[in-house]
Amino acid sequence: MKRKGLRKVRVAARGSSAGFSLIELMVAIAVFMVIGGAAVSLVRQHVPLFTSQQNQTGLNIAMRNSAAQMQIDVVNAGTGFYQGVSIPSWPIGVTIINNPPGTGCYDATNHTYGPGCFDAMNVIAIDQSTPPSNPQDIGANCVSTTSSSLFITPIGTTTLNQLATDFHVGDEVLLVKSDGSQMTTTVLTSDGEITGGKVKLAHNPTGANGVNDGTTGSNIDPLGISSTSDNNKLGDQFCSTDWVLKLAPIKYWIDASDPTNPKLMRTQSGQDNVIAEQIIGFKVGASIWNSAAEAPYSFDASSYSHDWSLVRSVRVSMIARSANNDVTNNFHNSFDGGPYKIEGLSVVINPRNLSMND
Amino acid sequence: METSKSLRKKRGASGFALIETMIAISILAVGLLGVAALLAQLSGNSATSRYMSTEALLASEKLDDLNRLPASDPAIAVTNGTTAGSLAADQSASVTVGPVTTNVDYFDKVQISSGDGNMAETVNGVDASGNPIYITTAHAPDGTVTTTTANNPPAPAADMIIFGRRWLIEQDPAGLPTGTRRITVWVSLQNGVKPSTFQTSMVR
Repeated sequence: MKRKGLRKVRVAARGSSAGFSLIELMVAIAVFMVIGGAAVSLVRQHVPLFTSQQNQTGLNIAMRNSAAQMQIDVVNAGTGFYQGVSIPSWPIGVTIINNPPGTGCYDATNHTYGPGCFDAMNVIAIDQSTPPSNPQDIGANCVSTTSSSLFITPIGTTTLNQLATDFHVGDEVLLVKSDGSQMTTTVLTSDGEITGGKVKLAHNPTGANGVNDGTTGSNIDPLGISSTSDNNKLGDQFCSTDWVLKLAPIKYWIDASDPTNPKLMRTQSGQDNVIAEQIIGFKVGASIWNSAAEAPYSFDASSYSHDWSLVRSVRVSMIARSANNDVTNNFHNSFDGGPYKIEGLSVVINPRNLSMND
Repeated sequence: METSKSLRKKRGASGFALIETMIAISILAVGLLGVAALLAQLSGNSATSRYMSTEALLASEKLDDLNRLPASDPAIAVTNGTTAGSLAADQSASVTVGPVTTNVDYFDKVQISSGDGNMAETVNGVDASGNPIYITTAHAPDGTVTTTTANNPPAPAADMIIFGRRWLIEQDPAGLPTGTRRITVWVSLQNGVKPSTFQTSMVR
C-alpha cells in the first residue's frame, strides 16, 4: 500500500511540471499581445478625450456657478430703496461699464488677454442696516454735493448717534430726489460725525450737476453711477424731502493683472473673491425699458445715454478656456486659435426688485 | 520513444491545451473590447450632457427674456382661452391687446457657432411688421460684440449647433392662485447625433 501511494504522488508531480510547450506559450502570448494591444490602443485614444472632457466639464461648472452667483446678485439689484423712500420708479439697479475694444486687448501670439477686453458690472443695492436719511444743510437750506461736506438728519426713531456710526470712510452714498428725477453719488472721506444737531459726512465733492468723472482722489465714482457726462438724471442740489442712502454694491469685473489667467472677480464690502479663472470674455449688454420684444441687447451704454434707470434686464456673456496644457496634439480652437478648448455662456437676468413703471 | 509519448500524454492531460488558451484569450479580448466600447459611449454621453447644459441655459435665458416684458405685452399676453403657445409644435398667433394686433411667434431657433474667430449666437424672430429676422450676437477675442439683424439665417457651419425653443404661457394654471401666469420653455437639440430636450417653468 505504501509503495502504491508513493507512485501516485510521483505521477502527479510529473503531471504538474508539464503544461505548455514553448511554442504553445509563444503562440498564446502573441495572440494575447495582438488583441490586448488593440484594446489598449483603443483605450489610449480615449484618455486625452477624457482629460479634455474633464476640463470642459470643469469650465462648464465654473461658468454655471458664476452665472448662478450673478443671477442671485442681479435679481436683488435695486433692493433697499423702499426702506423710507417713496419713488415712483427706482432710479438705479445696475451700472455697466462697457469697455470699447482697443489695442492691447488680445495678444494672438501668446494667447493673453488684457483688461481692455472686458466689461464690468456693478449691482447697486442699498445697505439694509443703514436707515435712510434726509439731506439738510446747517440751517434749513438744501445741500450741494459740489462742497466737501454733507449734512443729514435721521428719520423715524433713528438717533443721531446711530446714524453717525453707520457711515465710514470709503462708503459710497447715493443722493436721490424724492421723485426719482435726479441723483448723484459720492465717496466719504471720513467717518460720520455729529455736528450742530446733524450728522456731517465729509466727502469727495462732485462736479457741477452732480457729475463725477475723476479717476483718483476727489470727484470719483467707483460704481460708474455718475461718472459720465451724459444727461442721466444727475443733479447736485438735494433738499430735506430728498434722500441719502448708503450703498452696498457688488462689483463683477475681470482681474487681468495676469494676462495668462484673467479671473472673474466679485467684490463686496471691499473684499475681492475669485469666482472663475481663465475667463477670456466678459461682456454685459442691457435691454432698455419699453424697447421692442425683439430689440437686441445693447453692449454700448452710451447708446442709452448711460441712463441706468432704463435698464430692464441684462445679458451677461462669458467665454472661458481650459488650461493650456490639456491638449497635447496640434489642436487649435476656431475662436481665437489658441491650443485650448473654449466654452461660452450667455445668461439674461432681470433685476426684479426694480419697479419699471408697470 | 514510448517513454516520450507517454510523457506527452500525461503533460497534455494536466496543462491547458492551445484551444483552451485561445478560448480564454478570446473571452478576455471580448471583455476588453467591451470596455473600449463603454468608453466611447461615455464620451458620447458626456457630449449629450453638455448639450443638455446648454439647453438649460437657453431655456433660462428665454424665460428671463419673456419675464422682462410687462404683463400686458402681446408676447406674453393670454387673450384667447387660458393658454398661448405650445410645447408640442411651433405655433404663431395673432394677439390683440388694446388697439394693437400683433403676430406673435411662440418658438424660435438658436444657432450657436464658434467658428471664424467669433462666438456667435443667432436667434430668429419677427420684426414689428411680422417679417422674419435673425439677430446674431457675435463675440470676438478682442472684446468686440457685434449685433446684426438680417433677413436670412446665417450660413451653415461645421460646428454649428442648432436648438429649437417653444414656449407655452398659461393663465391661472390649476393649483395656483388666480392672476398667476406660468411660462414653460422647451428646448430641443435639432442637429445632434442623439436627441436631447430640456423643459423648465417659471410662475409670475
